[in-house]
Amino acid sequence: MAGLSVWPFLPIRPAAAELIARPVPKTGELIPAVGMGTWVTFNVGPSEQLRKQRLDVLRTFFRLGGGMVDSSPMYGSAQDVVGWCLQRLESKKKLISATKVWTPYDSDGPGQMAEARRLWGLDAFDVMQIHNLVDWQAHLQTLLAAKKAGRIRYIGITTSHGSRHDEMERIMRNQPIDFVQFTYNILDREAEDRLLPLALDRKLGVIVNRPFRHKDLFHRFGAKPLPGWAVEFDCANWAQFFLKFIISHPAVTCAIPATSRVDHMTENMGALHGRLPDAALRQRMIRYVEGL
Amino acid sequence: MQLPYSAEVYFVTLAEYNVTWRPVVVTGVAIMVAAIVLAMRRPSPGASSGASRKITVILAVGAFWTGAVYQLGMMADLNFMATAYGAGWIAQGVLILWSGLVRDRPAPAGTVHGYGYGAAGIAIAVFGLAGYPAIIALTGQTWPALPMAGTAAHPTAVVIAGLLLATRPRPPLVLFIWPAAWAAVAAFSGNLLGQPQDFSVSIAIIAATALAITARFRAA
Repeated sequence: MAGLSVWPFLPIRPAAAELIARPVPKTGELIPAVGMGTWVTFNVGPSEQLRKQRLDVLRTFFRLGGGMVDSSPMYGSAQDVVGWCLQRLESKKKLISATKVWTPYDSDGPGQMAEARRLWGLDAFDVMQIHNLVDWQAHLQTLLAAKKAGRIRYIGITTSHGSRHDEMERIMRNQPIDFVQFTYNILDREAEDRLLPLALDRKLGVIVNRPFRHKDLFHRFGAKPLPGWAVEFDCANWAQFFLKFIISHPAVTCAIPATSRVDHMTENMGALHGRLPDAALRQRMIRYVEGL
Repeated sequence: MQLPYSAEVYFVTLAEYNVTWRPVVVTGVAIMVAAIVLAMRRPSPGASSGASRKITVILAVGAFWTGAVYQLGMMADLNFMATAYGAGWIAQGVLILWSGLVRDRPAPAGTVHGYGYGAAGIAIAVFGLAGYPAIIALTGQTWPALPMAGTAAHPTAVVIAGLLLATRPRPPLVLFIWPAAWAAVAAFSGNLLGQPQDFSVSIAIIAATALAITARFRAA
């Protein structure tokens, strides 16, 4: 993937035009370090007016170097809307498709994945995850078979809100998966204790959800001044401050903020440029927001 | 905790639903008005039973439409819980029919006269019919993005709860279970969507349910 810069250690300064990307640990494939979630934001039902707005958001995402789009059958019409938008985009080449299986009935898993392929207009998914570990033992067998058949490239498991980390850790240690997805942000840092180091150790890709705590970080800190030293890692706004904190962790592959607004998408994707904070700066970032 | 959709998306989707089903929405409001008027009429000998059956059918139709089209049709696109909600509304419609036609219990006609709970029930039903849409309008929404009684869940639940309270002889309290559950849904979703006006739905339904229980115990 041209124009991408790999960040195995910190700090590294990429050329200005380069985008920050991370390798998928098991294959080395480069992924832009900021992706896009679709929870709430792309669940807009049949409204063409709202779908066209989301099309603008997705077009901006790809234009600014985005790759991974993450969704789930749990997100209402989000997969349908993503597929509707993809159909209307000039190219899907940059897309790194990620969705989930979310059903308590293992027999429904294959049908749900087939429905996802139909909705997105894809023959195969890059990342298929087991949503919130629901019936993961059974779904993992389905996903392994789908991977063997070429309908999935990577298998993942997800959780959010800091829940079920113990079970996730056991799966990470013992099961043949490629990705994990969980919540990590500048205030919710439980994952630093065990999950992130374990992901590095087990060579698992890490997708980070709730990078802004669903707007909560902006509500808490958005009206406060960005510290002057944020320029040391090329940070122009709070969105980039929060995202660069996440993607500067060496275990993180991709953060997936969700937005329904083009201006917010533009701010988010700015985090793909410039320097990242090193370990000392990361600690300073934590101290700063906790002191606000 | 979050709902999988935003308030903005809900109102846009509701507007498209109201436009698509405009004749049904208008009919829904009209039959709910008719139900309230029937409930307010001074009873004449022999007329009460026919009126009560009409009200029973109207309330059941409102519950069925809300379950089958509003929930299983419109909301299922946005909310994975809509399937369960749709089933609940349809079950409520069945219960109303069973109680009103099979057991011949709800007889709201003439209840206002000489029956304080009836007046309260009618007032609550009128709130569901006109007051709640008016509150939504005050928050900045305009037609067609207004939820209307007979075809949208919140106002329909309020009208049903109000007319059940107005019913004499009193209907089985089991008919209040679903409206009471919906009061909880309205409070929960209103809080998560940042729509505090939806608490008025919860308050109206809880008031109707509490009064119905009080009436039952006083009569016992």
